[in-house]
Amino acid sequence: MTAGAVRNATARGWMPDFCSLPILGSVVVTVELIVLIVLIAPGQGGWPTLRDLFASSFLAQWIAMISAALLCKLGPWLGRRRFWIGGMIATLVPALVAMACSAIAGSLDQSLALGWIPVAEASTFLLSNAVLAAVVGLILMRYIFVLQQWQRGVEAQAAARIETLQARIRPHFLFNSLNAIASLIRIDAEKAETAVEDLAMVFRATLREERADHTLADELELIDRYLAIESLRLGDRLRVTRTIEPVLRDCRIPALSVQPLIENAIHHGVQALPEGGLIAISAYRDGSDLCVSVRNPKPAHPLPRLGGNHIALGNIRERLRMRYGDCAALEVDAGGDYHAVTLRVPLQEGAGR
Amino acid sequence: MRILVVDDEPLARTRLRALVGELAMPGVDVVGEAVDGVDAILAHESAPVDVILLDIAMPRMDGLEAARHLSALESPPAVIFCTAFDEHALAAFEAHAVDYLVKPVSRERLRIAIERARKFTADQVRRIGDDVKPQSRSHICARIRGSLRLVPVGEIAYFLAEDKYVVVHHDNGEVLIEESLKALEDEFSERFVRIHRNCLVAIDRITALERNGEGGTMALVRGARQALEVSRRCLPTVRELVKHL
Repeated sequence: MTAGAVRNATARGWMPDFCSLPILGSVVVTVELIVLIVLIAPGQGGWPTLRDLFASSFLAQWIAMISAALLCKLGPWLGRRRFWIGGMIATLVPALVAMACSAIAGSLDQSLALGWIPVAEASTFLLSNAVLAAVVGLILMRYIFVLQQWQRGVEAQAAARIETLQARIRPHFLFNSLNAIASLIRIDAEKAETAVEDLAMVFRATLREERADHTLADELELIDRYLAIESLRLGDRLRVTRTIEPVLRDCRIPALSVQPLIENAIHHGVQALPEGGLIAISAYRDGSDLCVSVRNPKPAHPLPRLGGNHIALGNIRERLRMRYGDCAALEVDAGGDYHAVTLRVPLQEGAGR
Repeated sequence: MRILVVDDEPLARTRLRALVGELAMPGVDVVGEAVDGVDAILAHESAPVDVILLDIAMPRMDGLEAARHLSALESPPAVIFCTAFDEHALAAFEAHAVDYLVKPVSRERLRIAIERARKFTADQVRRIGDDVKPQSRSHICARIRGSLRLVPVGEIAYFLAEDKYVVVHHDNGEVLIEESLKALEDEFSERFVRIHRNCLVAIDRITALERNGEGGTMALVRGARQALEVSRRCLPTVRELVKHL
């Protein structure tokens, strides 16, 4: 089944799209296989003749195609019904079509006096075909439905994975940094080398699968590397002050819980101001909490820019909630010309986890 | 061919300048640099260039808006966008853009872009402006006695329609522009409100509504020398907005 068939299906709710070629193909093949099974099954009086095969296939495919055409047209309507009501109607369609077709076949047989269908079995013929069609229809729909669910699951998972990867790699940051380094290689190769090392460290940290805790000192080191790269690009537009209570350096803090805040401060603040600005990072103790605060100026009338890193805050909040429950918080204080975010986590000292 | 390099990052400017130099194309020279959209327009105004290598994400005025203002000029330069990663923005001007480059720009790719710019006529360049329509401009572009003025939208108190022109009253004076009040109203609907058939006022500058002697209503507007008349038709909308300030 192609992705197109699946995407089409989403408009029809749970109902498979019988208008799509791949699904029609699988209907034809399945119906043909069922015809073979029925003809070969014991109790039919030996091997079927070629005539039996052609006649049965002809009838069965007619039933299948008419049913598929009806289900194709009814699809959007059925998809909006409740699952079991829609399912019942959808199963009834092939059954009724089978009865009608069998009746026509029976009368044709009689009027042409072919004698392929014994007169005595006419009503059994009608009924058994209807039941067969309903059962086959049910199995097919179930099969396609499960296949679709699986396919949708795979697609959703892939989309989610790409989104996470994008959030981690941050193409804007990556390509701008590479551009700065490319420029630096001609001017100051040694500085360029350091920048590559910094970039590698930042990406190693962001791409690490499990995000355990580390110490505040570790996080600050990562931030310094990140700021080193950004100050290459922004020059003296980027100014930073750090006010860290030394005793707090060994406190534990979730990895990459502050660095994204700095990134936002640059993206929405310093970078958006022609004259740049000052990012103030401070870490202090408040009762039994460790607080890390990032404050930056921002333009009074921000440009309506595309992109940005809005996911960062939500992502950090989610991680805090999973790690600390209600004991941690991310507080945002936005004034007219500044933006301040404070990360608050329970104070945990030492190397233990 | 005179080239202007526009980027807010010094290293990015240095690199483009160096690359153009290395291309050693006869007659092709970088004659200036600018740090944002406003700077670029003013630089082109004082010393016109043929080609602008224009970054998109910049403070004050971004590259897309700058391109729009530039394409409206009498002798518009050919604009080549340079961007780190702006897939949405790229789609916006693909149709008529001279070219766009992704950073880090390669030397060969830059050569192709400059060759392409050579073949562009002013008419083709002007059409790019039709494609590049950012949400709403950050600056209004006007001419005073032949020289170009860029007025930040944040400094505008009100627009007043007079005959064929619209007068832009801003913190540092007033300028005439040839745009319709209706178009301005549509573009800046989030920041300006119509208070009269001929007047559009910055919402956050309305300080109070007052009755005048003749039963009409006047709006007091910060930065305006006199109170502005509110028409009966616009009064309910204006009153509602003022209530929420």
